[in-house]
Amino acid sequence: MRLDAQEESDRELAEALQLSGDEKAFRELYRRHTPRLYQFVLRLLGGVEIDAEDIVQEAWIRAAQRLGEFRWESSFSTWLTGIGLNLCRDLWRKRNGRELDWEMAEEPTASSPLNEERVDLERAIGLLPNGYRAVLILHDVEGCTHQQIGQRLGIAVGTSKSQLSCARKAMRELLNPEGSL
Amino acid sequence: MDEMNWNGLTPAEQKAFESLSREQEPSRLLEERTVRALKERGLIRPSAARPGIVRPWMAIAALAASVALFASGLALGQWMGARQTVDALVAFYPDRTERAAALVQTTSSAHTAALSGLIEATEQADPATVEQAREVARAALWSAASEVVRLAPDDPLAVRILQEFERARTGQGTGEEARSFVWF
Repeated sequence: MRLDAQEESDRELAEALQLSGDEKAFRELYRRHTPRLYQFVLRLLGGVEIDAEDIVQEAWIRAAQRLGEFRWESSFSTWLTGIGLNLCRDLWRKRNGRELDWEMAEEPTASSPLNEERVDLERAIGLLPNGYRAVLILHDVEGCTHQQIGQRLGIAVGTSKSQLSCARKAMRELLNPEGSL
Repeated sequence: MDEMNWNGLTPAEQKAFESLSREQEPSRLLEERTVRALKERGLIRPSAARPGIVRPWMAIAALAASVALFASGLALGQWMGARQTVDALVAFYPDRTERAAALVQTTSSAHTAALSGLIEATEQADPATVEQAREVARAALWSAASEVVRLAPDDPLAVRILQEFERARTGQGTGEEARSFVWF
């Protein structure tokens, strides 16, 4: 598999971090990949910055601990955001006291816009239930296929498709409460 | 109006999704907080640019200099605390408030540099001395946050810092899971 220059450089930095705990190498990796990780996690968490920062910190700790297990079959960024995604799921599980029920239709959160005001797309995504939001972001923002989503979330391809359909419907209702675009 | 169906995205929706940002910079503090967390777990070591050639006398001298700088900053903060911040700054430079603002920037940079020196020195210093220095650093942080609130009462970050100090002082929890904030 051919690695591009960025990936080769990521690998060198990761090796320096893993083998000698090189702080400079870590900071370079951090500055290179954190903006994307942070945006991804922040969006998954509906814009709660304090939670997103905690998740980003924990993601880097786990990444540093597990660098030896990373096979470099995907990009470092993809691997890192995968760690962030799993940490978000852990957080949801912890807060809800249970796993997300992927088969159950959900309503948008209680903080839906008042007076049927229009909301922008970012805010509408943030108002979706966690399960809908995760699938919508992975598919429509990150460009993952349903198969990839199934692997990353541990759900069936059909479940991913139905969740996406429900998520889009809920998102449209938030964006256009009166049905006009 | 774009034709809409419940399964596919309309071109307008696709465009809206494509326009969403893919990157966002978090707070600068997060990097330092993360580096510190990794150091605490032994996952990274201090940068190779500063190998372990800090001798004990150098560490003690650096610590003493840091403490002295903190103490002088604290004294200045207390003096300023006795007056309205803006009045105090204008007293420095009655006709040039911009110079007062520059002074704030300069002293803040010195304070940050002193903290960096303290962090390096603490690795080889006596724990009691380190704790004493931390106390001074906390006092300076509290003073600085107090002044920012007086300057801008609606500043959310400074208000939050003071609230956390108040909670710590009264022994109240936040009711949330403990968070590992490290303020620099």
